[in-house]
Amino acid sequence: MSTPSNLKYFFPRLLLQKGVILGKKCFVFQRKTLAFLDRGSFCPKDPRPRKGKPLLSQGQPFLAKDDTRWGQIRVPCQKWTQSSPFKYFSTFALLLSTSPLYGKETLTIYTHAAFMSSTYGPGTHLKEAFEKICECEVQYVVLDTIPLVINRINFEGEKTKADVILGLEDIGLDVTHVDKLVPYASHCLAFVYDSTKIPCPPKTLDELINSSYPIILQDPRSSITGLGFLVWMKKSYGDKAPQKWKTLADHVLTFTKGWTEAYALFKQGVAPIVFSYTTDGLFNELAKEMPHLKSLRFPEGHLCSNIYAAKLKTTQHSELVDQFLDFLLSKEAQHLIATHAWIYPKGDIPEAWIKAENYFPQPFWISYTSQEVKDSQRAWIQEWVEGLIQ
Amino acid sequence: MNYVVYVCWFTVKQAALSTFFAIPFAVLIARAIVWNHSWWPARFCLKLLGLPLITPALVGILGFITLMGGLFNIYSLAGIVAVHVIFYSPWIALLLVNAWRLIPEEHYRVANQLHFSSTQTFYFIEWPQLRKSLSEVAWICFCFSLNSFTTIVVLGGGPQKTTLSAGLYHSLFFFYDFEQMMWFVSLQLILTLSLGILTILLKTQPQEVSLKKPSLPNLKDSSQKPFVWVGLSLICLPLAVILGPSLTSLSLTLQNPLVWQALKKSLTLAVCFGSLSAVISLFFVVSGWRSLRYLASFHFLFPSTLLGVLLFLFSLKIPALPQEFFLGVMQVLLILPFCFLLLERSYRTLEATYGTTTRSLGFSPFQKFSLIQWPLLKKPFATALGLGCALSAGDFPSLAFFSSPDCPGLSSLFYQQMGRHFEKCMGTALILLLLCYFLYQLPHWILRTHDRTSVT
Repeated sequence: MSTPSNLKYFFPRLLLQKGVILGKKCFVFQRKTLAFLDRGSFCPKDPRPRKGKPLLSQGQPFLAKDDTRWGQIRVPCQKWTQSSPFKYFSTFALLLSTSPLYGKETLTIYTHAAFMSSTYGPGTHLKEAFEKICECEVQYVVLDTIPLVINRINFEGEKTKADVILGLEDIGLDVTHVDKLVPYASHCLAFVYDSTKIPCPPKTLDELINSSYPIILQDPRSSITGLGFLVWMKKSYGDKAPQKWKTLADHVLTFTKGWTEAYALFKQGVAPIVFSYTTDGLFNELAKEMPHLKSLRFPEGHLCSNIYAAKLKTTQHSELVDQFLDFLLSKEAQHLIATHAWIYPKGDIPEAWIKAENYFPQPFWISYTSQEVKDSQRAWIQEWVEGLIQ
Repeated sequence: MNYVVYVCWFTVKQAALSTFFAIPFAVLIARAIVWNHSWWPARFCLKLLGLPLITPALVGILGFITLMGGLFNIYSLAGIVAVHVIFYSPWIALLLVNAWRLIPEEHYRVANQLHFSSTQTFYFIEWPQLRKSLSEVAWICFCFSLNSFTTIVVLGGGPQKTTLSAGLYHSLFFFYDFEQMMWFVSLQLILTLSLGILTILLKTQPQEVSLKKPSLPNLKDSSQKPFVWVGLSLICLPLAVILGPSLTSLSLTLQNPLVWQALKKSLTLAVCFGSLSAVISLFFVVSGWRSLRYLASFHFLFPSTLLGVLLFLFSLKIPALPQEFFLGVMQVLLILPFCFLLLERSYRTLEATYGTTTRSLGFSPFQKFSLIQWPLLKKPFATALGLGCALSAGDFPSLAFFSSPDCPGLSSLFYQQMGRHFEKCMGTALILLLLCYFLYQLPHWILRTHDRTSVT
C-alpha cells in the first residue's frame, strides 16, 4: 500500500487530483489515496493507438466489465457548499405565510367563482357596500361551482362556518340546510354567437339543432348551465329529446366541465356558438366593446331561473344575515348586481341596458319546477348519455 | 350500448390508435438519428428525446392546442391521439435507438458489400433486431396511453370522449356519482391486473440492459435527415409556440400573488417528495431489495387515478391527516419506480464490475458505500433526484385529487387558468416549465456531476 505522501513524491500533482481506476488493479479511495491491489502501473493515457471513435462507456464514470480501455473517475476537490449559490435553497422552500386575524363580527358567505369574477361578478362591490353599513367583515369562501358549494355544505353539516349561500338557482336547488330563500335576481339561458362568422343565425331551436355550426355545450352532470339545456330540450321535445340530442351531437364540438371553460373556448374562437346567457350580448357590447357577439332569441321561450340568497339554519349571526338579505334587495345593491353581474335585477333595469343595441328583455319563461328537475334529473341524464353514445 | 362498456371501448380504442400512429413516427425518427448520428442536429435530437418525460403534460398540451388549434377540431379523438403521438414518439424513439446499438456493425458492412438499398437494409438487417424491442415498446406505449389522464381531462369531454381514468375522476369530483365511480374503479382494477398478467405472459418486460453500451454503427444517409427535423419539431415546436405569448404575459403573471403562492407550494412539495423518492430508492437499491426491480418494472401499468381514488377514500376515513400527506404518498408512489429503475441499472453495473473485489477486500457496508458506491452512484443519483423533483413539480393527477382550492399547486392553478383565461395562463406555463427544468438540473449543479448525456 502506498501512502499519499509517498505518492506525492513520485507523481505530479495534476495527476493526483484526478484519481484513476486501472481496471481491477487499482482503486481510488478518497481524494488522494490510491491503493494498488496488484502490481499496477500509473498510466494517464492508453498507450495503444486509437482506432475510430472512443467507446461510449469511456464517457461514463466506471469501466464496463469487458472493456479494456482506461476509465477515469473525477474526484471533487471542493465541496458544493463552499461556492454554490444554492446553499440556502431549502430555507426558501420552507418559508410559510401567516394570515392576520380580525376582531369584528364576520359574515361568511359561500359562493361560486363566477360571483367573485373581476369582470362579471358583483362580489367585491357588494362586500365593500355592505361593510360600510354593517360594522362587520364579509368573508367569502369561493368554490368553483354551485354544486360544489352545496356538496361542501352537506359535507360540513352542522359544523359549517357558512352563514349565507349566494347564487343558488332553481335548477339544482337543495334546501336541506336552508332556513330562508330570498330571490334577488334572475337570468335566462341562451345561445351566444359570433355574428361575423354567422351572418344569418338560426331563428328557432329546431333550426339550430338541424344546422351544422360547431357548438360548445356544458356537461349536464357537472354544470348547472348544461343541466339547464338538458331541461330545456326535455321540456321542448319531451320523448323525442334523445333523437334531437343525436342530431345535435354531430356538431357539438365538446361538452365542457363548466360554463367558464366553455366561454373561454368560445373567446379563443374555437367555435362560433356557445351555450350561455341572454345578457351576454349586452355584456359584450357595454363592457367588452365586442357588439358582434350576440345572444340568439328564440320565440318559443328560454329556460330561465331565479337566483337566490339562502340563509342557513346553522348560522350564529342571524340578525346580520337578515340585514344582509334586506341589503341585497335595496336599490343600491340591485344596481350593483345588474351592472356587475349582468343578470336581470328584481328592481329597475339600468337605463344603459335599454339604450343598448344588444339589449335582450326578459324572454318568455319555459315552465318547470325545481322539484320536477330534482326528481327526474337522473333519468334524463341517463337518457342523454345513452342518446349520445349510440 | 351500456355507458360503462362504451367507456372501456373508447379507452382501448384511443390507446390502440395512439400506439399505432406513434410507432412509425418513432421508428422513422430513431432510424434517421442512427443513420446520421455524427450530424449535429441528430446528436442534439438524441439528447432531447427524453425531454417530454420531464416536461409537464399540461404545458405540452397547451403548446399542442396553440399549435394545432386552428387546423382541426382538437377536442376530439383525433386531438387526443395526436397529443399522445407527440408525447410518446420521441420517448419510444429513445428506446429504439438503444435497440439499434445491439445490431453488430459487421452486418452493415456486409450489407454495404452486397449493395443493399436502404429499404433492403432495413428489412434484412434492422427489422429482425427491431422487432424484438418494438413489441415491448409498443406494449408500454399502449399501457401509458390507456392510463393517460391529463390529456383526456383537457381534450376530452362529454360521454363520448372519456376514458376509464378520466371518467373515474369526473364521477368522483364533478358528478358525485358514486355508483358509477365504483364501476370504473373495479373495471380499472381488472384492466390493470389483466394487463399485468398479459405482460408476464407476453414476456414484454423491458429486457436486461447490457453492461456494455455499444456505440452506434458508423452510418451515413443524408436522405433521412428530414426525419431528424421532424423529431426535433415534435419535441420543440409545442414548447416554442408558447414561448412568445408567455413572455408577453409573464409580467402580468408575476404580479399575481396566487402564482407566487402556488410556486412556493409546488417548489416545497417537489423538493420534499422528489428527494424523498430518490433517497428511498437509493436506500432500496443499496440495501439490496433487488426483488423490487420486478415490481418497479411494471410502473407503466400503474394507473395514477386508481391510486388517487383509493387514497382519496382513505383521506375521507382519516380526516386528521393533512391532504399534503396523501398527496405525498401518491407522488412518491408514482415517482419511486422511475428513480428506482434508474439507480438500479447503474448499481447492477457497479456490482458486476467491483462487487467481487470489494467483497474480497472485506469492506464494511458503510465503507463500501462511502468509498466505492457513492462516488460512482452520485451521477445517477443526481439524475434520479432531478427526475423525481421535476416529475413531482409537473405532476397533475396527484394535484387534481389533493389540492385545496384556496392554495393550489402550480399545475392545478395552471389547469384552472387554462379553463378560464387562455391568454393569461401562458405566463404560468412558462414558470411551470422553467421550474421543472430547473429542478431537474439543480441536483447536478449541487452534486457537481456535469451531465453531458441525454435526459434519461
